[in-house]
Amino acid sequence: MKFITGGAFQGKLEYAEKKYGADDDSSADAAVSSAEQMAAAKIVYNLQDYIREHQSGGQCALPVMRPDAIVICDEVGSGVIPVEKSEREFREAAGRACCELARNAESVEIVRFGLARRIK
Amino acid sequence: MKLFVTGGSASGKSEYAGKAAETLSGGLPVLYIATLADRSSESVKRVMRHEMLRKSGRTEYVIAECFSADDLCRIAEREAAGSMAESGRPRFGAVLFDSLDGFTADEMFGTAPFPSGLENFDPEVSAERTSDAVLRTLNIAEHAVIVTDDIFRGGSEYGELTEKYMKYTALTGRRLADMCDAAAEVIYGVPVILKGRQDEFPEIDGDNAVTLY
Repeated sequence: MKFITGGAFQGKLEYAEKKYGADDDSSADAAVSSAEQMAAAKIVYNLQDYIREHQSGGQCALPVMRPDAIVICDEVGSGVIPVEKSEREFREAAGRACCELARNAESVEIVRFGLARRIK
Repeated sequence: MKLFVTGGSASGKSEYAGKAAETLSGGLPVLYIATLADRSSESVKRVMRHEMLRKSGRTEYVIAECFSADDLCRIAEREAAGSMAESGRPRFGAVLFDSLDGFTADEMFGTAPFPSGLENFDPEVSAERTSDAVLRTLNIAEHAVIVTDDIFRGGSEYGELTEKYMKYTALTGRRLADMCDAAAEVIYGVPVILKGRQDEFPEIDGDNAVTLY
């Protein structure tokens, strides 16, 4: 599994598709895709939206994905601590999930303004 | 060379960018494109100018305040017309643009009536127009350094207008980062390379002060 992260609107999906080659059919938007679609997709993106939807008390089980999947999740949590409890829990869950992804990934890349840097 | 500098707030990116511009300018004045969100605050400008002159010691700064793409185009045109000083040398050794996110905030929210004037704001069209105007000012001198805050990792869901502002700023930054020769993310004063080779970066304090992962 390859993990790609970075802030919002940074061009993560564009970068992944350019580098690893994919089209709409093989990419799954985690915000709207079914479990079957995510389990089959080469690229799973917007994982932060899945986590926002499925987290409970700051924890979230990740969806089943291919062992060779390219997983994209927004890097979150560097802003001011949110007032809303659910927002704080989301950031906690997303952070923990991304740590797990990074630990298990063969590579981790960060995208800033369309520029990627491999950190693992 | 054109250098793109990003980082979180208070990460030391402006200080690094200033030093880089001074090194690149090679003794010639630096044209400082200042974009201040709070244009009413005269004292901020004065303090900033004072600080820059004091810190640099040897480099002369010429400060141009820009709040819109029209401001940028005016400066670019004026400098294109008279780009040489009387000595026959270029007027500026480097352009320092600080910061892109301040500029895009002014460009988006500064003139249109709020919020009705922003209903039809198109981040993609505006990003193209803004990045072209910024590039023209960066091209005034042989070297340029452009700074932008990394405002994209808060993780909160913002209102529609804020999301539009973020997208507009990100798209503008992505176009400019693509056009720059080198890019660095400053993490608490430590510049880390995003683009370019280590030996392409300006030497600061006698040291090629960039870090590679």
